[in-house]
Amino acid sequence: MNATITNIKRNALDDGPGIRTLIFFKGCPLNCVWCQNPETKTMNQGISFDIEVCIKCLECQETCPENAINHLNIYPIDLNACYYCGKCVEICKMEALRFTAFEYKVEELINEIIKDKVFYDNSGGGITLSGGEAMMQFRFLGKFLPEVKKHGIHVCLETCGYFDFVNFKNFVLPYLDLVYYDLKIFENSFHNKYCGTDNNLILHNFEKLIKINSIDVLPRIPLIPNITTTKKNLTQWKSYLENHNITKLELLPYNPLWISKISKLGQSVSYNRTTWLTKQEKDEIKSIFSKFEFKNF
Amino acid sequence: MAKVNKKIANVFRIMKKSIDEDPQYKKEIYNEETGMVFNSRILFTTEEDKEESVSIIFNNGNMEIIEDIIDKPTITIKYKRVKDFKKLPRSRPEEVINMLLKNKIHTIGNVSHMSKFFFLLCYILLGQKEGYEQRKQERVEKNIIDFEDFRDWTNGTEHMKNKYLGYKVDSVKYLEDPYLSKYSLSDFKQLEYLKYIRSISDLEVCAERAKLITEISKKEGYTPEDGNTEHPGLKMGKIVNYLLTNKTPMIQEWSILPGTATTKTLGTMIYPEFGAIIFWPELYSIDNRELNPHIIDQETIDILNYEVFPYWMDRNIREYTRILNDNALSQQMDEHFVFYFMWKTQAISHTIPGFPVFLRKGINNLMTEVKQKEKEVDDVSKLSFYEGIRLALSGVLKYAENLAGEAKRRADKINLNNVSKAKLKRKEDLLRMASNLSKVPAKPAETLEEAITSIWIMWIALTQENAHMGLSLGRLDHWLQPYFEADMKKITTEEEKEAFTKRAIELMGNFFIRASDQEPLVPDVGNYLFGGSSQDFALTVGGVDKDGNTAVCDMTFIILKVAEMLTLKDPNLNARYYPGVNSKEYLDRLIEVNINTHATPSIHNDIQMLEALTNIGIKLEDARTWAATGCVEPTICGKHFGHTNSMMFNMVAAMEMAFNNGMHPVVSNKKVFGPKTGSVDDFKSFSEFLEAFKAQLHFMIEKSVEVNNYLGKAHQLLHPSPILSSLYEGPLEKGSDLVDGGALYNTSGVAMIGLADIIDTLNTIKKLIYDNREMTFSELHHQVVNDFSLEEGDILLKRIQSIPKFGTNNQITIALGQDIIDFVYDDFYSFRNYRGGKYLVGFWSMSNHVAFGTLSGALPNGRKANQPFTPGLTPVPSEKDSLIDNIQSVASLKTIKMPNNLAFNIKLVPGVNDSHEETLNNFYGYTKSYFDLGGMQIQFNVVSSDTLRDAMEHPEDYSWLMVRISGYNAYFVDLNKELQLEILNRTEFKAK
Repeated sequence: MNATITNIKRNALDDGPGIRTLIFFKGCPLNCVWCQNPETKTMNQGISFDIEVCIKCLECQETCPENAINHLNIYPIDLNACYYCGKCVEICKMEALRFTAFEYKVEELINEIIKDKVFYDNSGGGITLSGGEAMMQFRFLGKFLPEVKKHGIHVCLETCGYFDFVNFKNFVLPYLDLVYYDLKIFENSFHNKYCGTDNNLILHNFEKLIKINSIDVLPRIPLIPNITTTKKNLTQWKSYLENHNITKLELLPYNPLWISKISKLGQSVSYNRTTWLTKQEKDEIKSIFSKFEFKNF
Repeated sequence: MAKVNKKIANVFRIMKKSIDEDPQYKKEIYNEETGMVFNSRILFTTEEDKEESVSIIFNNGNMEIIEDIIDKPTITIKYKRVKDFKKLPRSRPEEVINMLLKNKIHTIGNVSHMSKFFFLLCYILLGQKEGYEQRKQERVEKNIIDFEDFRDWTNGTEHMKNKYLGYKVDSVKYLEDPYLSKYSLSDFKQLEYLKYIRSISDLEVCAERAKLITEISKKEGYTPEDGNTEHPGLKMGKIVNYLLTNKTPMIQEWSILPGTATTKTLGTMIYPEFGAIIFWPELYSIDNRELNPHIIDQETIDILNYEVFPYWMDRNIREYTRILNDNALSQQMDEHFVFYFMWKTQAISHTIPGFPVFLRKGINNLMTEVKQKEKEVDDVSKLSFYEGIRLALSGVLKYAENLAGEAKRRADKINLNNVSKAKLKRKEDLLRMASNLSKVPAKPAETLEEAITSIWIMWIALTQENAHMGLSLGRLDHWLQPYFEADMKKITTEEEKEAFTKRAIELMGNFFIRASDQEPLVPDVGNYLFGGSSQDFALTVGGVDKDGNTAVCDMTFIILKVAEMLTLKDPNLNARYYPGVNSKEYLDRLIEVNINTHATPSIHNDIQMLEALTNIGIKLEDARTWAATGCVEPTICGKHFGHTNSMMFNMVAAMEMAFNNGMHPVVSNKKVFGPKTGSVDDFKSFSEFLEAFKAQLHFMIEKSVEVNNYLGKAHQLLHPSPILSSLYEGPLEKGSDLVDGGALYNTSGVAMIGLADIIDTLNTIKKLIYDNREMTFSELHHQVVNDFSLEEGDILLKRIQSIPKFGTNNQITIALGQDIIDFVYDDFYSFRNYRGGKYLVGFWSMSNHVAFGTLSGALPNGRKANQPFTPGLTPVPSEKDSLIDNIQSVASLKTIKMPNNLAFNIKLVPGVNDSHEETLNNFYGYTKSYFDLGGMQIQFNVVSSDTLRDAMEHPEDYSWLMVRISGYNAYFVDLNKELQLEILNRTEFKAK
């Protein structure tokens, strides 16, 4: 059984304790308009193109059997004509063209992460399952994670919470040390509007998880201006967390750099805030959660 | 048609007129008071056009100008281009030096005569004295706060976070909190005050030592040619005795350690018998130069100009070597600056005396032993050697005696009646110093205070005997611990224990301040070659003892605390860490100190170092006693004379020669070239090219070894070190000086520079030309020669960027690196030095990665012309860098082939929102993992690019900002701009 993965990011310091390797699994049940990792939204193959790196040698254009490449366009590939044969990716010596999906066997993925084990051990780090939504590939995780634990590696899951809890409990939970649980929009109608699904399942799963109380769960709120950062939404989350006796969370400030990723995939932007949070915005958010423990931003 | 020479001759005629008509100028070449006569034949000419030549003959007070070449010139000053020759009459000293560096000028012959000539030019034609005098009048005296009015002083170290450790670790016996977290500098007012004085003091040139050595040498003769045919050791014994006997005994105000290196608060010493003459043209401008200006008074100028420099023109090591070896090609190559830099022209120090034995014995017992030896031998040469040692050591005793007298006099001046508490305390301190000096260094030290005093007096003596560059302090924690324990044992109450802990910090702090009361005299060119470098007194803590047990002790943590509170660039703190033997708490503390001081200590992995040292034949129990020397290089303290920085070697020069059939593009002297390995298109395969590169490396290695050995012989003939020799195991037994091979272990250390750029260059060539055949070698070379400015140069640069670099954990680059390391290790190892020892390579660079970079053309790895190489073994910065990859790559190289150590620089910056715990944890994670993977040395700069940028714009706000260059520390604002930019452009990794 294989995993479909977009990227493996080593030397990660922001997604769990210590020095970590982040694995970006492909596929996500949600469809958030601000998605920071648009290449992971589906399990499908894709080709990203980095115009900054390209030297316009046009070798890809010449080699494409479908004549689907035209460098006059910012994103040069006509995705309707492309069969993902990969000839262009192969010939690109600059690595400006890259596949977005890679298949990994359990052993292959273990080999990747094991390279940096010494760093995990010395810093209290480990691996973080990210995405997309790693739970989309829970059967793979069910095979992969026992192997990871054989090496004594710390495992953290970053999840949107939209998963089947039985599968989670059977295949994944026993091997986790820490869960980062994203809470986005409290009101169901808005959740539907901006994330493409109901949030009932997400809330139920969260409640079940903290009730089991077997591992650390850190709720995280991505701060998306005018979507999640409305006073109403944040206040609702605040009450919700208080009701569940939760005093610690993480607030993730908006990062506008994702917008450049979108054009690399030949897609168009669905949410176009291009600036970081202002100090005023930050202060307002912080004041809502003033009684909570969170990392300053 | 020669024209320029006529104009220049006319300018020289103006100079002649001044000399002929004005006695003030006349005495510069013919001085009846001092008996100085400047006789010289100087030939100026150009490569471009031999007709453009003009000569000056100084002969017994006459100056003759000839519009032609002359025979038998003392020195030929050859300009590459006529247009540069034209600038000669207006040349300020720094411009001349700059042209020399860039090989726009090169010299054949005695360079002292060039220094003298350019002094005359500055003095007579450019009127630099007038400017000097005006500046002197305009100088405003600094308002120095008196100790008793001294309250609070912000020193930029107030944000230190110091964790508490409530239990003892390693071999700590007494400190309940080894981290000493409750103390800060404000608890030590006297130390804080001394730091304040240190930081506001201007550098001042001190001529005392130069004057004394000139006096005694004039009287007794210095070289055999002077008629002094005495054994060199005996001659030096007499000289050192004279220097120390006549040295002014000084005690700095409020210091609790007696003695100073110079007569100034912050002084630079002059060693005219080595390289100081190059500074001659700057006498009237050093107070006004941009980098590291010095105060210099008229008396000092006159002493140097009329008495000191003229005497040493033919007698300094460089010129004496030239005479002995008929201006060998290998020596001329040194003077092209781009191949290698030979440190023996400046100093031979870079070693570590065995202080423990000396502390146990004291000078009296040492002398008794020497006398005993004299009875046992009848070899005249050995007898002279022993006598020299006795004379030199008596000089140390005399100096201590004089200091004791001075302490007593100063104490007597403080009248007990009607005097402040501080003054009363001062009187006590002075009397205490006098009483300490009546015991040490003559007798064995018994207390911590005596031990530190004894070492300090000996240290001063050593810096008078020989140039102090890189002389290092060794393992002071390990060596002082027995005295600390002996004092503690006498103590019964907690209050006394606390008070003594504070006293120990105070003593060590005073030692740090004293050790940084001097700087090397750096000619302006040195500001560019060795920007901001001090004399690099390295001090080493931690590691294991000779039996392999942890040597981390109370004094280790006291020294770390002192280093942290004072944040001085000297002593250059190095820490040994033995994974599995030294505690995690100790490594945590090293990292904490590094974060707090931004730059120090540099941390070494004992496991790798011991492997590298035992591999070259050093006994394990000796290897365990190693300490860092100068920058990072290992010396077996008191047993090993290893001149660990005998030379700095530019590997990129060999690469440029391989591109050009053995010629170096910046060198105009056609005599200098390596083997004819062919032009770039002759190489049919990558391995053929690699062989050509290695052939050029071998040529340079051979030459560098030759000139180092020539210089070593000159040191043997002229300048042995009797005091230093008395502090080693070996010389007394063998009856021969360290410089003659008296030590137990004899090696010479080399710093190989530019490896990361070499690896990336080789990989680019391999990939573009031979693997992928994307272009021909001459096409690539053509772009390189034109600094990638030809058509499609920018695309090529982009293409090159995508080729895997060293530092991305790419296995091909690592294999290439290892191949070069193995080659230079083996090749150097196959040679013998003048003491019969081996040459050992290391991979660190002081600041010469910038200097050599400035002199080198573009490289196929995309490095533009004149840009710096990377420091030490640090990978070339790239956007794709990940710290883990950097670490894994460097750690993959076999440290067993780097017995002279390496420097791996990392700029790692904590996030503004990170907790101290998180930051420490991640620093620890990287450091410990690097060591677990087989890394040997690591050094962090913990400062953000934003801070550095701000410091470049507002230097006045950042006088405290310390950075680590490649093995040594410097204050960022003292650095030349190229070096500042190099540090700024290093990859900034986030610690979170």
